[in-house]
Order: sequence, then C-alpha cells, then structure tokens
Amino acid sequence: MIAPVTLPHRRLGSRFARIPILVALAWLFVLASLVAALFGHLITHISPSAQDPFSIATLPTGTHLLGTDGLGRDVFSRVVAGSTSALVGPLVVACSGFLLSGLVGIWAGYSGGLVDTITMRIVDFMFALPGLLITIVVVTLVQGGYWLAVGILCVLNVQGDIRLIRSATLAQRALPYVEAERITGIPRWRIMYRHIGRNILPILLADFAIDFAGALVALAGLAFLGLGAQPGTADWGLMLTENEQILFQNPWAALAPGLAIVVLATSVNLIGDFIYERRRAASVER
Amino acid sequence: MPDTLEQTEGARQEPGALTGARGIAWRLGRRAGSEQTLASYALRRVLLLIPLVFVVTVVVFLLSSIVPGGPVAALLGGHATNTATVNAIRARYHLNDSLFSQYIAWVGQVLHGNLGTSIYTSQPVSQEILNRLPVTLILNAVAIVVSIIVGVSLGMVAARFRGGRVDRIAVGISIVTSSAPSYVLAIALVYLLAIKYPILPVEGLGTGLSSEAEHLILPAIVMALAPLGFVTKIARAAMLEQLSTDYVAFARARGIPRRRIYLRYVLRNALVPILTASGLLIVTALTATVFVEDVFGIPGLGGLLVDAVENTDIPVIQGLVLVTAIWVVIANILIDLLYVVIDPRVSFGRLST
Repeated sequence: MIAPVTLPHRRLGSRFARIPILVALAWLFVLASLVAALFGHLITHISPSAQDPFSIATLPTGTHLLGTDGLGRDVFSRVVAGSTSALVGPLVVACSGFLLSGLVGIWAGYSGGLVDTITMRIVDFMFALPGLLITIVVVTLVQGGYWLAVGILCVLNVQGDIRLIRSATLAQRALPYVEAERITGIPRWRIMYRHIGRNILPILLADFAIDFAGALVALAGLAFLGLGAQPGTADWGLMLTENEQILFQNPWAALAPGLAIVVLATSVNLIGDFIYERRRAASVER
Repeated sequence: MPDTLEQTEGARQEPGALTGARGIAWRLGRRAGSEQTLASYALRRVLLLIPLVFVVTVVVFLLSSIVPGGPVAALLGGHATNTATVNAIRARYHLNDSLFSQYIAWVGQVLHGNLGTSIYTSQPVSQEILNRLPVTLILNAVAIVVSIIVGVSLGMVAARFRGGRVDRIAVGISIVTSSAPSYVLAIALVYLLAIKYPILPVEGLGTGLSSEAEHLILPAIVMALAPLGFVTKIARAAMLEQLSTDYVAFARARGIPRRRIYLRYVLRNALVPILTASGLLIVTALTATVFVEDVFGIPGLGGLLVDAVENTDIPVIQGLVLVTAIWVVIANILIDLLYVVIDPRVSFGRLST
C-alpha cells in the first residue's frame, strides 16, 4: 500500500502519500451510507413518510435538520431512508457486472480467436448504444419499475468491464506462470477463473466500484424522470424532481439528495480509481 | 458516466488491439491488400451500415408491440376502449395484416417522412421532431466542442505538470464532473445563478436571437460539464503516454521548444485515443440533453422524450429512437472519417506501423 522510498518516481510516491486521506474520506462516506441504509430508522426520530401540514417547505430548523418538503415531510429522514434504494440497485448491477465481465472477459481474453473476435465486436457495438436512453424507452413501454431498470442496466453496463478484463487477461496469458500451468496439465477453467482471475482481481474490484457509481447515477436519473422508483418512496432521484418545485422556499430539499448522489458517486469512483492505480503502480514496480 | 476508467485504460493498454474505425480500416486494408481511396473507404463504411439500419428499423417497428396490450393499446394511449373502436383501429392501421407486410408498409411511410401522429398532441411526429431538432443540435454541438477544447487543454496541462498542484486540480475536476450527474448540476446551477444570485435566465428559451442565446448559456455549461471529466481523463492519459516516448526525449534533447513539441507532435498523437473515445462522448452528451432540457424547460428533443414518456406517446418515442439511432450512426461515421485526417497512418485502410 505504501510505496517504498527507493521508488524511481518521486512524484508517484507523493501521490500515494496524498490520496489515502481522500480515499479514507470516501470509504467513510460509503460506510456512512451503508449504516444509513441498514439502521437509518434508528438514527432519525421522524418517520420519512410522516406529513406535517403545518410545516410545508420550511427551511432547516432544530427539529427538521434539512427542513421539510412540499408535503411537510422531513427532508433529513428522507435522505437517510433514500440510501436504501441508492445502494441496493447499484449493488445488484455491480455484482452482475463483476460476474459477467469476469466470466466473459477472461474467457474471451484467454481463448482468443473467434470467441474473442465475436465478443469484441459485440462490445464495440454496445459502446455506441445510448444505454440510459434505451433504459428510459424500455421501462416506459413495458411499464416496468425499479427492478426492470436494474435488470436492463445489468446488461447495458457490462461492455466497458468486458473490454478491460479481456485486455488484462491478455497480459496475464503471456506470463510464464500460465504457460507452466498449461504444460503441467491444469484444467483450463482452473487456469482461467482461479489463477488468472485471482491475479486480475483488483481490476475486477475497480470495475465493481465504477459500475456501482454509474448505476447509482443512472437509477437516480430514471427516478428523476419519474421512472423506476415508485412515487412516494424516499429515493434521492425522486426527491430531486419533487423538490425542484420548492427550490425557492427550501433549496435544501432538492440540494441535499443531489449532494448525496454526487458525494456517494464521487467516493465510489475515487475508491475504484485508487484500487486501480495501486495495482498499476505495483506492476510498474515489478 | 460509468465507463471512464475502462475507456481510458482500454485505449491505453491495448494499442495492438484495434477497435472501432482503426480496426475496420485495418481489416479492410488487409482484405483489399492495396491502397484505397477516401471515397471507396467512405463507401464501404456506409455499406456496413445497411445491416445496422435494418436492425434499428426492426427494433423501432417492434417497439409498439412490446407495450402491454400490444399496438392497439399503444395507439389508444390509455383512452377508453370498446370493441368497435379496437376493430376500427385494427382496420385503419392494418394491424390484421401479417407482421412482415406491416413492417414493409411502415418502412415505406418512414421513407416518405411519415412517422405517424402523436397520440397526445395529434401533430405529425416528424413535424414535432423537426421543430425541436435545431435547439438540441446546437446544445449538443456546443457541449461537445467546449468539452473537448477545455478537457484536452486541462489534460495537457495536467500531464505537463504531472503530480503538481495543477494536475491534482485537473484530476479532481475530472473525478467530480464524471461522477456528478447532469440533473444535479443543472439544479445546483439553477439555485446558484437564478435564485441565490439572479444573473441568468433559467426557464424556457425566450424570444429573439440574443435572448435565446442568453437562455442557452446555463444549459450549455451543464451539457459541457457532463463529458468533461471523461475527456480530461483520456487526454491526460494519452498525453502522459506520448510524453514517455523516445521521440519526445529526442526532440527535447535537440532543443526544440517545449511549446512546439506539445502542440505539434504530442497533441496530434494524443488525439487518436481521444477521437476513439468521442463516440462515447456523443452518447454522453445526448443522454445529458434529456435531463438538461427537462430542468431548464427547453423545447428540444430531450424535453419531447420526457413528455412522450410521461404520456406514453408511443409514436413519438418510436420517432425519437429512430432519430437518435441515425444521429449516433452519422456521428460515428464522421469520427471514422476524422481518423484519416488526424492520423495519416490510417490512410484509407492501411496501417503502416
């Protein structure tokens, strides 16, 4: 984790000394939203769905830390409660990205030939697709909800991962240990998913983080357009649309969930970048 | 924007694996084995589109069938029904014919510029789209040009002062802008520049050219911010890679001014991966349009899509998907042709490296 003092790139060393503070903060925020998602109802003393007709769209006060929204609901409680749908869907998308890109990417990279060519042509094609727009259209037409959106994103998010995992596998395949294993007669799947897979695990984890951030932004965007999350649920994207109208009365009602999306997405991206950079630095060192 | 890292690293790590235009150009060159002219290269690229166009039209045609209740429900758009109405609609739109002849009839109509009628406004879809196309086109063009200029400059400066304060700021901007969704940025800017410090108009388009331009400033800024982080990241990585090459060391040793090396050689070489990524850039900008036009109330295609989604206006959605597909395809052809301009090594299908 800490680069040795003898590292030839002095600047690289200072980069490492700096980033962890930010990365630590990022981890802290991710953990905080996890806690909020799991134990949120214990933290907040006001129910996120309780409406108070006597305090509608009020500014932050002692009881309402972030004020209230247009129906008199407590914004702070709703932001805390919104962390559930902000975490669950993206987690599913990221997990499926992890599995799919691991299976297909390593397979394509290791096999080469026709399998590889076909996979990469499909991936190239998928890169040209406006994934979020397709999700918008399909969710509208099928009149599906949150989980349909999650399902579509699982598929349309995977192209970048596959490309990256495949090229990492290509690099691994050229290494002597793979050659040695092949000669020893170790089964193909074992070389692929056990040994190569373990060696490129940091890249898979970095992908996981980036998928998560992308899905978070996409799902919140869908909710912002009134798709996916059901009306009435505490969802950050939905809160943005609902509270955009009361931007004059209580700006925090819209700014707080927006900020939550930005900070969580940035944190997760930062962690992903860090895992990836550390891995690259390690391979430079070698 | 989910794909920033993959894109950067993918482009960086596998210079040998040719993707997109270079891959196609390379394969064409191999197959033909001889020099090609720009015209025949372009022609081949266009011919490759025929299957793609076919798939897109089939998908768009079938969109109305995946609606629960099928095409009739799609055409009725949630209005009350009785058997007579349904039968009338089936007869009027030839829904009793085979799917294949329906498709042929539909393609014929589309070729004549007839995209059907909006269920909600009862206006021809083609007219609705044409009316709203210019403002979206302007927003996208401005966003792409500005984000490339700013992003590439930022990436270049960051690479020049690698590890320094400027680099850190550039990387920070890149991470935050690529994580912050455009709808949040738009709302934040509306709050800052229209409510807190009322400087710019934020709603609609206004009338008259100067007013329109003024109304488009904020949306254009948000639109340009959407792909900025991604462009900066790729530009920085591409520049760093170029700066570590021997030719730069040689040029420095020969005493060629740094400015000349950067602008003349490094930038030109770094433009190739940036161009590869610009296909994704176009898609990102297009996605951002939907949210930006929604927040700022701009009567463009994005706003039309949001309205159509709210009213489940299937013919409009079909038309928009078709236009979007054509848009992405044309943009990708332009990118492919730009390769030839930027990188002489890709000249019409031959890669000399």
